[in-house]
Amino acid sequence: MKVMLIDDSKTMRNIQRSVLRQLGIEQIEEACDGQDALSKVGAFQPDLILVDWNMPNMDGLSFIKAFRKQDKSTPLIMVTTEAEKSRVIEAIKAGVNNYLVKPFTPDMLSQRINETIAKCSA
Amino acid sequence: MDAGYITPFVKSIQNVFSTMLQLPVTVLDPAIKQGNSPSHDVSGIIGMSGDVKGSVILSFKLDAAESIVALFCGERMDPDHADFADAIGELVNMVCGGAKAMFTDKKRVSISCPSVIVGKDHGVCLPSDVPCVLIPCSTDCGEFVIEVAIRENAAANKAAEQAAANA
Amino acid sequence: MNGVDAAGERISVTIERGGLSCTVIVRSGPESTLPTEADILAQLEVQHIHPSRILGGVVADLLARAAAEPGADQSEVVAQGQPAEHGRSAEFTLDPAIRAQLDAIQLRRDRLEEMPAGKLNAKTAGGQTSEQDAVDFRSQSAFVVVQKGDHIGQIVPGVEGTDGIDVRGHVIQAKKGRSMSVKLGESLRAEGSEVIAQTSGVLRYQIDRVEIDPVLEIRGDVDFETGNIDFPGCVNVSGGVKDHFVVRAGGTVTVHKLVEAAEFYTSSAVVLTQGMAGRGMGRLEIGGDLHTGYLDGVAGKVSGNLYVKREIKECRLCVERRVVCPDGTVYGGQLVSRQSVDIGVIGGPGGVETEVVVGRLAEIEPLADRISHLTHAVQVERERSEGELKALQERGKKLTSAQAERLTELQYSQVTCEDLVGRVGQAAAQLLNAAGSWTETKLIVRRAVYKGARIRLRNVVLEIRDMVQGPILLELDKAGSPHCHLRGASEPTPIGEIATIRDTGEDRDPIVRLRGISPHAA
Repeated sequence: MKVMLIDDSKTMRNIQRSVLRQLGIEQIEEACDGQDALSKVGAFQPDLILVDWNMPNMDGLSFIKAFRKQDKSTPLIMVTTEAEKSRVIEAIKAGVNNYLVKPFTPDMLSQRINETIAKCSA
Repeated sequence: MDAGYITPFVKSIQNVFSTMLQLPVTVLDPAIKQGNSPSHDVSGIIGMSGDVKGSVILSFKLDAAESIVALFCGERMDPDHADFADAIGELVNMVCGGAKAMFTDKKRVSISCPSVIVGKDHGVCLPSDVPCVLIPCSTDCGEFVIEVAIRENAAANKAAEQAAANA
Repeated sequence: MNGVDAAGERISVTIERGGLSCTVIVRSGPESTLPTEADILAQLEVQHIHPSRILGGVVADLLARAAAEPGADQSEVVAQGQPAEHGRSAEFTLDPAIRAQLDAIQLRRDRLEEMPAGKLNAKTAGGQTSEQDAVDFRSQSAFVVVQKGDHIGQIVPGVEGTDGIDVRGHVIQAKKGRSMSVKLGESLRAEGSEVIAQTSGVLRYQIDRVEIDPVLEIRGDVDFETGNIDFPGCVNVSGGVKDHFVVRAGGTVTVHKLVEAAEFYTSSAVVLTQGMAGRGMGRLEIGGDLHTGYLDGVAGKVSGNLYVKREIKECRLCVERRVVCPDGTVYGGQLVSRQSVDIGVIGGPGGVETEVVVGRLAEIEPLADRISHLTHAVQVERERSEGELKALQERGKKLTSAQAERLTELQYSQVTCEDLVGRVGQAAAQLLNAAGSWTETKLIVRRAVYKGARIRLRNVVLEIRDMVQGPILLELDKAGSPHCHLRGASEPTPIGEIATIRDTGEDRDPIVRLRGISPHAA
């Protein structure tokens, strides 16, 4: 399984990476913003994408909108501090499959990843 | 500043630190900050815009920042390391994000990408027309403060009222 | 002192006011014998009047008046000295509020002495002595208690004084002001002229010394003499504590003699060297450990460990940590310990009802309830929205705009439910971790447990059918099931052999319930 992590914080990518490793996922690509992710996603072909909202150059929401134009099925989980209902709805409308509000524990992230994969492969 | 803007920060800091670091935070009595004197050695700064505008600073003593970053990243890091500032930035990002979600009246607020300053005796200049509330915090890793200098954006609120009236 | 000139015996010089004033009288007589100014000055010199003290022009005026009125005596002050200004000693004045407290204490003491002993001992409501003379001696403090930073008084600085000079030019010594005779103890600091308490404690004010004692020493009993005690630091009572008196303290309290039906509210440990005979009215709320010889008829809470040498009789006590009474007996009443109980004997041969509760998690129970209810509510909402969502999704692309809006709402509901389930599970795990460090759920009975004893290990309730010889070890395993080891046997004895299990408590055991909710519980 291949997972792409999109977050401008390296610390946050490291935390997510270690959770993915605990889940046995070793093929991980990182991107530091939406633009970076768009340039890598075609070559990497991820099975799951974790994406932050607030990032420089291109934010997560713009990335999702652009990505969903070309790929409607790859599961996307938004991992962000944006917790207001209006924001979550905005993200759902843009095409995210699941949503995790920071701060989170490793257990919460792994639970959300497992749920999303199970749901999308059903 | 409306006291209703302080409680979300208190709750958020406790939530972020207990969830991400398993570190309980004791919040002491908030006070109004006088002048632009530096609070501590490492500061993470985030700007807020929209219905509420201003800045929020999370300022740590150096040893506290080192211990907290070590807890967050799982390894001790030199303060000059780029990832050190990144970790502080992510903490202030989570604190502000969590706090703004708790603002009442469905305020529409955006937060900026964080900036981090590392160095003794640095000062952060805030707009003089916004009072800065200083919230001292204490943890087993050391002390830090949250400085909240935000206010409701009168222009934005007026526009919202106008829109409501027109509707 | 008088002098008369030789020429005409018409000049008289008088020195008055202790040498501060010199008056010349020119007596009446014929003009031919009128003295000259030189005669008067010569007479002043004879009297050793210092020229610098002689007032200018006054002698000439005097002679002019004498010439104008030859038939009358004329007098005039011709020289003056300068009186000495005496100094003032530095002094300490108490803060008016503290002064008022000290006065009130003195008044209380005077009234107490006037009060017939019988009246004082009468246990009237609120500790008042009588209706007509309603003075609540219990609630009035016999001490001035101050907090760190309090204003205690003021130093009024001394004045040194200025010497004077008499008409003969002799110095008149001024009395010098002395330094302050009251010594300030190290517990006080002077900020300019203000005196501030450096520590919290009881103010000791003597004629020559002011200080704050962080320990309140009571020589004798806590009774009408002392009133109720409310002290921020440690309290040491050489006597006992009488009926209905209240002791509140921030530090350790030690009482060397008997405590009667009194009340204790403390933030730290309490040591009752003899014990407490509460007679059903004693009350304890101890912030630390409690060490005592015995407890009888006492109710309350101990936040630390409870150490008892002999007996816990007819008490209702909740101990946050361990109960350590290996040589003693718990007899009647209810003893609750959050952690473990190590006791000599439970109950007695007469079959007195005695309840010992170990590992009770009273604070966790409502939290576990809330977590259970929340989990259930979220699951219900999740299933409901999932069903509706599936139905909408199966319609394919033929959704109206309202249905599309509803679809988004349902997706939001799903995301929120999943988030809540994760967070609630996390809360359950945290609570379990905390609970693990609070409770051991272990009961050791060294000598015997008698019929009538009721033992509760968390939510498992056991009733002892017949006397069982110790040592007995009763504990719960991780699954919440009780185990019994009799007389050091390595193999467990079935609980049913010694007790009737009244309630297995499984469905209500908060630990077991939280384990069911938290997916990551150990």
